Amino acid sequence: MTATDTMDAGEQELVRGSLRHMLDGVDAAAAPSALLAQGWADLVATEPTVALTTLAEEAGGMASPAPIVDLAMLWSLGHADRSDLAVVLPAPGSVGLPPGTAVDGGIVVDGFVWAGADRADHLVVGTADGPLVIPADSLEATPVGGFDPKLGLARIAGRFDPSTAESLGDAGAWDGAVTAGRRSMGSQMVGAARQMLADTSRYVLERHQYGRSIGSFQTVKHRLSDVHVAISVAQAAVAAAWNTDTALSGAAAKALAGRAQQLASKHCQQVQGGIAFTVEHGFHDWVRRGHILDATLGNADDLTRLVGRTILAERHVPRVEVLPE
Amino acid sequence: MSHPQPDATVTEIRDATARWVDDNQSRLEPFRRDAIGDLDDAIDHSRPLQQLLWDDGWTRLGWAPEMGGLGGSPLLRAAALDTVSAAGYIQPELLGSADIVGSTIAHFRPDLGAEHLARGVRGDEVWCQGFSEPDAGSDLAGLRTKAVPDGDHYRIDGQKMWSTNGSLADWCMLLARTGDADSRHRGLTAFWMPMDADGVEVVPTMLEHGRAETAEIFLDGVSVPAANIIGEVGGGWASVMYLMQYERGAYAWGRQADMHLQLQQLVDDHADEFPDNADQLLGEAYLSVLGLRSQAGPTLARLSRNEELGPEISVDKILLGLAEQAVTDGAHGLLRSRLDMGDDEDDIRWRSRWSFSRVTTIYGGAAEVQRDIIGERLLGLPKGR
Repeated sequence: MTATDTMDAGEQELVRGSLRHMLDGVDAAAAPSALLAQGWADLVATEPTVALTTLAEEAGGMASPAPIVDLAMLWSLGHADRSDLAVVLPAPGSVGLPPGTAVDGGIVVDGFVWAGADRADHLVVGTADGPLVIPADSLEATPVGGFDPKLGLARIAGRFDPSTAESLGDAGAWDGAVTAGRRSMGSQMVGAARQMLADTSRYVLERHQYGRSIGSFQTVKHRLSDVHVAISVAQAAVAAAWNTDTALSGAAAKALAGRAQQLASKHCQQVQGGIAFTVEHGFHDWVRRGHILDATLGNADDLTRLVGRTILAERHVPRVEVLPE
Repeated sequence: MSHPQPDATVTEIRDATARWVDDNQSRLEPFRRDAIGDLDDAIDHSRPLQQLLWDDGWTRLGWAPEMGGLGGSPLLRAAALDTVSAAGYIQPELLGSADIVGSTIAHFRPDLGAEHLARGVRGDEVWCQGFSEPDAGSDLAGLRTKAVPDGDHYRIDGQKMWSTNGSLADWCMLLARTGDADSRHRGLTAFWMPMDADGVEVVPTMLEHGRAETAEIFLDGVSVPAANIIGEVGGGWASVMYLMQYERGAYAWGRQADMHLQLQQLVDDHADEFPDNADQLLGEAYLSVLGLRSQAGPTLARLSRNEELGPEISVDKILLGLAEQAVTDGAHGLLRSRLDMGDDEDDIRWRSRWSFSRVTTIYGGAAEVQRDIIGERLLGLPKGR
């Protein structure tokens, strides 16, 4: 609401260009401080919707390994100006639960961070009582290979004493940060899927078989059309989740974006044939990245069930606000 | 009561509508459920609500005062109807199609709009579209119904089919060929045809979901005044494409409102009977409806600013079909024994909805045609099949 009310399309494109420039070629671990040095805190304070949506879409489209999700969550927590914090994200498969669990007076942590733990002096750990800040060296960080070794993830595990930690807010503050993070991941997947679709559309136009461009075959065309539809609806759902800032709308938007990204991975790889399966071609990087984008803050399947569970528990089918004033 | 204010904001109209709903609960009570039975039962059941919504001003918002409207943005009407739906009342059967044809008439022929719009939107007149033919469905430009000038009239011969509400319609927006047989989309003209004219014969078509929702219309030397042309002679394709913005776009707004309500009623009435995987089934259905709403809102905003929507409207049309089927597939999964073998009123209602949802990827331009449009006109892929 804040964003599009005050910024016209031309100004938004300028922001897009400058954010893209800032992200281009910057080391992932250094990205937050580089953005802060170039005015990120002011931009996100005045135009949060445009700033966070555009940054995440561009990062997704560039396949940037920068920890963009941290910027969204820290903004939500009121600390958009800090680059000394890395956010510990819940371990894959633990949808709805924070990474920190209270056990016998301590907090046991199972989670991961983007772009390694070395980049930050402190870690933000979500718990049932809200987000806590602890020195980075109080937990053990282990580099992660996994589906996307280029991403430089680190698994974070260990135990700390909550009485030594600084609180960043209550449980609602952590939930709000997770929702902001899900919108951000949704936009990253929209950006990634759009780039996959653009590259693939170009390829099927140029590639000829049976004497014609393979993009003229209806089966190819329809697969890519379905990808376009999935991306459009994901982007619209992220925008709706900004208008209606609830846990449910954020989860739904990320689930739809996850579906779009999965469909793009599947169809774009299929219609590009064997060449997109080679290491040299590089499409596999999108497929690998897609798995981690989906896994960060809840994969599409888990979030779909979370949405259904929430509706059942509240006996209410909510309507997101999508009409402009 | 005083009428809603056309200069109000969307939020103010939502609040005003919610107050009106509160004050009129006993009058609204019959409209919490849609009728089961044939098309005329459904229309008869919901027509009093359609009249009430007009008389108290909610559906007059966004239409020009010359046509009986209150003026203001069509978004206000959309917000009011969404609020009525959120309070638990099903949208009147005829309102969606009246909005589609009404928007087209109002744009091309404000004078015809002055005569007919209020009657159509209030439900006093039933309107239909006469586009498809036995040999011209997805390939609409191949239609053969001929309109030949005859003094200040046109003489029309041919056959239409799949006309929604055709068996009950008073007026039809008819597309006929005024050009050469091979003139394709260039030689078409749209007419506003009275269904009681000599030479019009209507045969209802009973559909899978238990309603004669559509009809065949046989035209044998039907005389229609040239003054009833909608748009230009030879400009019928433009008139129909204008209409399609509403059929593929604005119509989705009313449908998403109804689908939210259907899911709400499913949870209210049957949650205790749901199977173990209810979270999955309900989540899938809701995501589809939320997605449709997220897309339809901005589309409606663009239409209300008189932006001409291009091929991107096909995205909305595909999402509409997907959502209709996701909701009814979800309901089928959640209430299997009811839909497959139950005969309670609600079982019949959901079974009928499930069956009807199968046609939502066909009417208004088959999903395959929409995918061709997206591929060729949005992604820039070459023509070809």
